[in-house]
Amino acid sequence: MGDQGYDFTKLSVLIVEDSVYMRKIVKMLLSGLGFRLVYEAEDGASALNLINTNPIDIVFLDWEMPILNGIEFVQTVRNAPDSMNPFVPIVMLSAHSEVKRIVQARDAGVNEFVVKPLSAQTLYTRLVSVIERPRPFVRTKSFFGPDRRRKMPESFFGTERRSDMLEQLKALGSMAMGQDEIDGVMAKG
Amino acid sequence: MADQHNREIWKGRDEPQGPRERGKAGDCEVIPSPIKLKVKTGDGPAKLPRKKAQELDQLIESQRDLYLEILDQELRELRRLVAGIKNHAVLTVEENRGLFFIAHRIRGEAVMNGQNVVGIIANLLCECLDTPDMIRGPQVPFIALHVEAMVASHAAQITGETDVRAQEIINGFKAARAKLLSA
Repeated sequence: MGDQGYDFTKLSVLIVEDSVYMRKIVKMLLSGLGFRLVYEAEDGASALNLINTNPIDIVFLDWEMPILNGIEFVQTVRNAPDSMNPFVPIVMLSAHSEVKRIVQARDAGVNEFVVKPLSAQTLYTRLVSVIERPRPFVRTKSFFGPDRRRKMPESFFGTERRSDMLEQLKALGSMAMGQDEIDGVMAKG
Repeated sequence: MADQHNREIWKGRDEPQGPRERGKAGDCEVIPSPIKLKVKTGDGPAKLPRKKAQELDQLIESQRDLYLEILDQELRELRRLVAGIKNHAVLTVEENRGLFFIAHRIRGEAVMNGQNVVGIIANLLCECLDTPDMIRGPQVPFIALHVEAMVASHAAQITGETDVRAQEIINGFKAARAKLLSA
């Protein structure tokens, strides 16, 4: 980021994404922000190997992947007895925006959920969130992960305005959530 | 490894109250996160400066040609999968999964590259693959309609702005979709 912003050069990040295009975009954005230590994996199984053998500070994770999907990856990192990094902040990047999916991700132990399409600003605000507001972890018999009782974020990231034509198309579909609504679900127990 | 970190049992004013917050087991152990990223990063602004955000978003735009090639391949693959379905009444789990995997990827990436109409139709396709019971008639014509609407939108280079061709495609798509849903 430079002299006036966060120094990301000392943070190591793992991108877990099976789409070559998306992996390239996320890596470009992170490099543009100043990250130098960027690990990549194209599926959850490879990512598990990387996270257990390298000091990863943040994980950016897709949901739909072969071999081991994003949810299974999170559950393994959080709960496996031999997990080397159970507290690592995990930011899920996914095109899923349905309520049931957001709740599933939160209950698996995801810290932040970003619904695609991705922008530089959205990615950055999630980085700020895990840096500035590290959430305590909660352990019960049925859950281990970031505290789901965190309050709604103070910031409001806005909603995208679309043309009438796109609204017509969107209206054909069932309920999907915007980013600000997703932030609310991620925060509530 | 979690056991190796220092823990604190939640005490004080914010102690979980009632059976819900204490968890099903009656115990809720709250552990301060040992991850202190701020020590490494120092301070920074809450939002990305506008100029920097624009610079990074231009990086995404610089990959648009690459994406359009990928989208071509993905739409061809969707067509191939639809053509390979034998029973038009209902999809197998594997067929559904194969179609969903590609449509889901398109809905996440198309809008980033100005292919808004394609992205939204892909989202509609994902919804009906995720909830196949919503399709009352044979499933394959309904799915094929979405795939062909994406192909047409992409071929016409419709980006989502007000466009006569776009409106024609969307009106036709909406009418066909409504007809199939009411069958």
